[in-house]
Amino acid sequence: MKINKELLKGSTGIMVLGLLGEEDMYGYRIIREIEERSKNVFHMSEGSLYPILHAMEKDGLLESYRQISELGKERKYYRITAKGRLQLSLRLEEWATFTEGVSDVLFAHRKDSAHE
Amino acid sequence: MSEPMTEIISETSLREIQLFAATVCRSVRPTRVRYAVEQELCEHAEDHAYRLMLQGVPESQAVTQALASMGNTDNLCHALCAVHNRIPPDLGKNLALLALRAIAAFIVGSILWAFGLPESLPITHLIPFFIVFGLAPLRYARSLILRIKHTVRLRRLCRQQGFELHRQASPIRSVFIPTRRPEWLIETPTVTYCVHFLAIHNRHAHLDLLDSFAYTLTTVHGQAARFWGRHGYSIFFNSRTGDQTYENQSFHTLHFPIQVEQDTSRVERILLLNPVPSEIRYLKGSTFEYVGNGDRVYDFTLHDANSFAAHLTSQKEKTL
Repeated sequence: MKINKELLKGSTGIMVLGLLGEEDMYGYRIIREIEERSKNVFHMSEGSLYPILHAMEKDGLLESYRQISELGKERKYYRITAKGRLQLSLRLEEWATFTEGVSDVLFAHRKDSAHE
Repeated sequence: MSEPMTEIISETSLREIQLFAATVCRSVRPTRVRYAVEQELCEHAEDHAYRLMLQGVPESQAVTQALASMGNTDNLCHALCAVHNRIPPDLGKNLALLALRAIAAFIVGSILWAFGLPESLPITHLIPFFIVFGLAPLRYARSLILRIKHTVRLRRLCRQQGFELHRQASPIRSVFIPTRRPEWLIETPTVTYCVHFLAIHNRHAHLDLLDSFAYTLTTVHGQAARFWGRHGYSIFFNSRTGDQTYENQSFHTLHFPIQVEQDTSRVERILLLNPVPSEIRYLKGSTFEYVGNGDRVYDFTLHDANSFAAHLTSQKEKTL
């Protein structure tokens, strides 16, 4: 099922922050993780990740360094900063509230039926 | 550990990747940032190509797929420039060019005045005007004339063949100037044609047919576009299914609604281009393929204005 690009656009940033909150990664690895964890639901054009990463780095949410990757080549890794972690926790909270709100609106009648 | 990538990916492929990255980053400033971003994009494409090659994909195909998956070079360039450039590259360059032209026009005008050329001569006033604006007004006029000419021709052709011709206004937005171009629906007994006119100027015109439903055409529309940045056109199509007409368009990239696919048996979509671009390429899945003019790609046929008339005539003969 092809996901609306506007929906994907709004969630890519939080997914990237979330992944980097677990572990430092380089760009290609981030794309692969998103695809694998979402079971290929999210399939974005790979180049579009880099403007997002660079913008976050400019905003101080991430910092970068170069390191040898698992393939034996040097790659640019991204690491989340303290400011990034704070932003991530805020956006996770926001996301939880948002999805709960949407679910409540869309599936309220099911809940009501269940109660009856 | 796997074999190092430099041992697997050839120099030719690496150069192709580097060329792609250079194209994407062509307008990124400052220069040190541009080199860093180029390097990062190259590394990403190398990793992807390497992974595909480990799966048994031939090298050239792996590199092509890896580059295709990176996305549209122009969109990526704009996105990167939006992050890194203080001044939008097109705007900065175009303002500088405009300033130079204004200075040149002032100098020429001063010289003409110093030599005492009669002010009543139109050329005295026109030369500075053309220096500043170049040939943009003439190109716009040419574009308008061509559109009118093809519209009149299409009307006459449909009248002769007994086909119904419907006209719908469809908004196509450019960067600064909203335009409304009509879309024509030609109803024949066997098929409905959606026809869209697009006047292309010769500079940097190519047609990218992206994935299943997205089409992007970028062109510099005359001199004026140099002053106001890239002048993108969306190719706009309506697909009529029953009584409904689906519309969906954005500025650079047009996304078709999913229902279009189900209607391909009835609607033949025509892009009427004048002239037909010299290069047409499309992405099928993740592979670039080059096709010539007049070829059928998915459910689209590309015609120039002249060959479409013959095509329509042949359709009439089929129904008789």
